[in-house]
Amino acid sequence: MKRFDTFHPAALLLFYICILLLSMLSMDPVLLLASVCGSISFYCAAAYPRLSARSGLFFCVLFLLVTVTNPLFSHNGVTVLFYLNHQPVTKEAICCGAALGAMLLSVLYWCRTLQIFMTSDKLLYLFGRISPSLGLLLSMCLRFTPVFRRQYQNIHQVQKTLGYGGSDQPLDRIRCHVRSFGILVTWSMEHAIETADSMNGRGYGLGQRTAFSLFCWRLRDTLLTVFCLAATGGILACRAYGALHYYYYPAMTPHIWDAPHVICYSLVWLLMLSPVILEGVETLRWNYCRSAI
Amino acid sequence: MNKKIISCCLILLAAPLIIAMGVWMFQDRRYNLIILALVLVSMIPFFLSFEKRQRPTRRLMLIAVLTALSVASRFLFAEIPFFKPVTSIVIITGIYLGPEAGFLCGSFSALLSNFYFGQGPWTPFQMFVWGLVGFLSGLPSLLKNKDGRRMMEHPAALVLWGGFSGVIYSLVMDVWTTVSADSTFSWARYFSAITLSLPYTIVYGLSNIVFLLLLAKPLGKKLRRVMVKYGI
Repeated sequence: MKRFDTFHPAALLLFYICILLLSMLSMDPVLLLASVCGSISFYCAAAYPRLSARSGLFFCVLFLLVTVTNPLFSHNGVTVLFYLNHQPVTKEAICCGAALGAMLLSVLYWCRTLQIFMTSDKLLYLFGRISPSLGLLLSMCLRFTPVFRRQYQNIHQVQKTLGYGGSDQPLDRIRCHVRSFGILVTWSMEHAIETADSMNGRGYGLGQRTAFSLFCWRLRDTLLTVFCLAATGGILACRAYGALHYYYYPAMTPHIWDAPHVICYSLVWLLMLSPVILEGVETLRWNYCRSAI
Repeated sequence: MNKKIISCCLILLAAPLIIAMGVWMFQDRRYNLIILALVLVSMIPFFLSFEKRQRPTRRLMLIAVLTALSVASRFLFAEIPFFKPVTSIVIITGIYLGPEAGFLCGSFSALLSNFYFGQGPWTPFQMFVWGLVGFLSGLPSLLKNKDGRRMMEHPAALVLWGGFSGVIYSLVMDVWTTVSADSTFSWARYFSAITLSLPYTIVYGLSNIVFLLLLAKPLGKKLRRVMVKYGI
């Protein structure tokens, strides 16, 4: 059980909106470093037993690619390192590329954790609250997709037994797939009409419907919401007082350590590292409880 | 009616407001945030218009089935890489069930299939592009006497529109690639992104054409049969 699984979907959504907004807000290297550290460590904590080295490698390559290609498109900056095809390659452009890569990396990693925690049932709960008929449509599609996949396997098996698509010719196999798909379409439409009639028979569309859900708003959801809003508000306020305005061209802005900057950076680090701290505390507590048995 | 006009105006105002905020708050430097917000806002009217009107349950179910079919087809044709009939099914939905159903089918296909293939900041863009393709392919069938639908059913129209929608998909997704890798927009980067993705664009267009030619006739026939049989 992961700690973030137990939060209310609305609190979770707000948390992710704040985090993603801040990750894309500024090119400030301190903020981006915090976001990258927070997202990658949180992903490792969230996906712990099922970490894959291949996807990590892919993201490293992506980061390097963005870093290296930026100087090819941007020749701004005052510190020229060397010339490539008579075009200057500058230190600023490389640093800017690294910052862009870091931003991309952090957003992608936050989205990966979002996918772990914001499962379709939670999304459905949120969607269904705002818009009942869209929520209904979404839930039906979610149900139908695995049903159709299974039914397709059955149909395709039968078609093969009947002697279709058995040969090694690709065209023959494609034709068999299309044939099975056609059968699936007919079956699914008749099935859907039956479902619709059954829904009508049970009084769909008459007055208010309620939806069942297991989620309830607890104290920790309030705490998370207040923390997110306070931290984001604080960071934005600091931004209004001059923090997080970072420029790479023509020369990189030197870092100033005055009050708004220090407050802003500490808030950013606190917010970005909060998920992994929460997960870590939960894991420690779990291990402690288990060892106490 | 008054409420409707107000909500329309709010949405129409939202887009310039977001752009103005981008210029004022971020000194015109944070294109990735702004474009994401714009895409999300631009989808609201489509969803709102669906939510507002009461629809027969059978029609709703038909849209759900077609959406689920297009998502499932991404797995069913897993044997052949990059050749996916998703866009073709979205186009067929648009042609037979109208622009609104086309938009819903397209955007929900993107949202749902990304549950399996990975959600990310590109999800709203995919939702928007596929929705738009579905919407546009439904527009001609709004013409009187079903002339538009007959026109869209013609193989030549299918080939043209299938190839074109593959190109649109690639072009819009490349905008996202450029903006996400650059955070402002640069034409040089955009053109290089288009060139790099050219083989994929061609494969998308080709697979759309192939699947439209393969599926449009049988699927259209089945849809029409169900619609006549159950009076949808």
